[in-house]
Amino acid sequence: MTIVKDKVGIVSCSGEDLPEGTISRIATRIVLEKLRPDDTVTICLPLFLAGSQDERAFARAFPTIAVDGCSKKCAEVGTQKYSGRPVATIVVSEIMKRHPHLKAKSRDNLGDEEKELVSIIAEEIAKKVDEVLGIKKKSGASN
Amino acid sequence: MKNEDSYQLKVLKWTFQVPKDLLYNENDCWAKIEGHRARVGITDFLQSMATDIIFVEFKDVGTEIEQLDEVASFESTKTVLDLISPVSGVIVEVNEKLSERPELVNQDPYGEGWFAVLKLKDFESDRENLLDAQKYFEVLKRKVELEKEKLGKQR
Amino acid sequence: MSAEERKVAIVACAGMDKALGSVARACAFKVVQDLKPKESVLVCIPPLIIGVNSHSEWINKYPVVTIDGCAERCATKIVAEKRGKIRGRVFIPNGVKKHGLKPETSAEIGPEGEELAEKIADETALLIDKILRK
Repeated sequence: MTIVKDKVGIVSCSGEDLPEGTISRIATRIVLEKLRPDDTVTICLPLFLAGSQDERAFARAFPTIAVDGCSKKCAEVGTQKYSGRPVATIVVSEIMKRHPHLKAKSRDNLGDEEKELVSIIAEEIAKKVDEVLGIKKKSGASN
Repeated sequence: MKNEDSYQLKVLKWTFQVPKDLLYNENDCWAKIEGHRARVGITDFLQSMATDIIFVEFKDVGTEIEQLDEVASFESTKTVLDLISPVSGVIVEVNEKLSERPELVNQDPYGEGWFAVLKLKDFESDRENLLDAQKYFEVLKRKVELEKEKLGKQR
Repeated sequence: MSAEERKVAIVACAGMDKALGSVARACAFKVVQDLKPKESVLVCIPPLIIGVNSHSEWINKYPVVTIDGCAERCATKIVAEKRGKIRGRVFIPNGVKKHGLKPETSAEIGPEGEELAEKIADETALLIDKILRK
């Protein structure tokens, strides 16, 4: 029997080193609160890493998407270490390469270009959520 | 808290505890009967919905409380709520620790996060309006189903 | 101790689930970027856990100030586990109580949240001075 999961956990990096980290965080919250509020739950990465059994159990039981600011991939590595590999990872710095006219300069004060990047990343995360749930739903339906 | 001592409701990444040795009202407040007294507080579910509690304000010691009166109010970063008394009686003690450390309500709602102790007035009559842990657990399940989409949002 | 060695490592929880986590993060940025750029370094929790060398070195080399957004106190817990030298703790909910300012949401803390972060950052800067004087 396939267990159909109707929620996806999103783990974003804390993102303090780079502006891309701030973009990750805000994009993730936008997905949670506006774009896919019924389909997503965030996993608080510091709490997860600090040992929260609830966060870790959720990440084991439900599919997760890691949203990382940079190639260090802290969210992906951290999730894998304590709960299992995320089903997908979105790396903000990689997506930004496709939009070279948009620059992320500030870690804390988002200007228009950063806000546009946040929108783009949020849409990418939302698409990935649909993909993950679509796959699961198909598997469940076929049984 | 051991599993055998409480019911546990797991919803997504949240686990809500309902200790078996307490009585509850539908306003998510609990009472622990200690002889002629009752210690009261708020449930794990309510502290979670309230989020981080930063202020607690009590009614004065000596105040007479009817069942469903407010015993205390507590403020979080999100909202202000009241502890609706499960029992009637007179407040004989309040948890002064919560003035300095209101986060105890979030961390240990059934232990160090207690709010007040009341000397009971008419427990036999109050008891009819209280839920044992199993019944409250059923109420909680229905509430969580309604509130599920709010969990984790706007915190 | 040379000027280079006279620094404090700031470790903020930066929790995603609550607005106070975002305030903790904003406060850390203000301290490290604006108020004490020469006297502080910002240690990010996930690289610290996954083993990025510089972050682990900093919490052992410098005295640490943790900034926690809620009673879980993840920053303090994690630094203690990693045997960092905690010399100061900032607890954002105390700042909310003291200043009567509440942030809006985790994604956008709003003007009150920004003001709260500034006030707590100012207090943290004084704490850093105190630590470095010892």
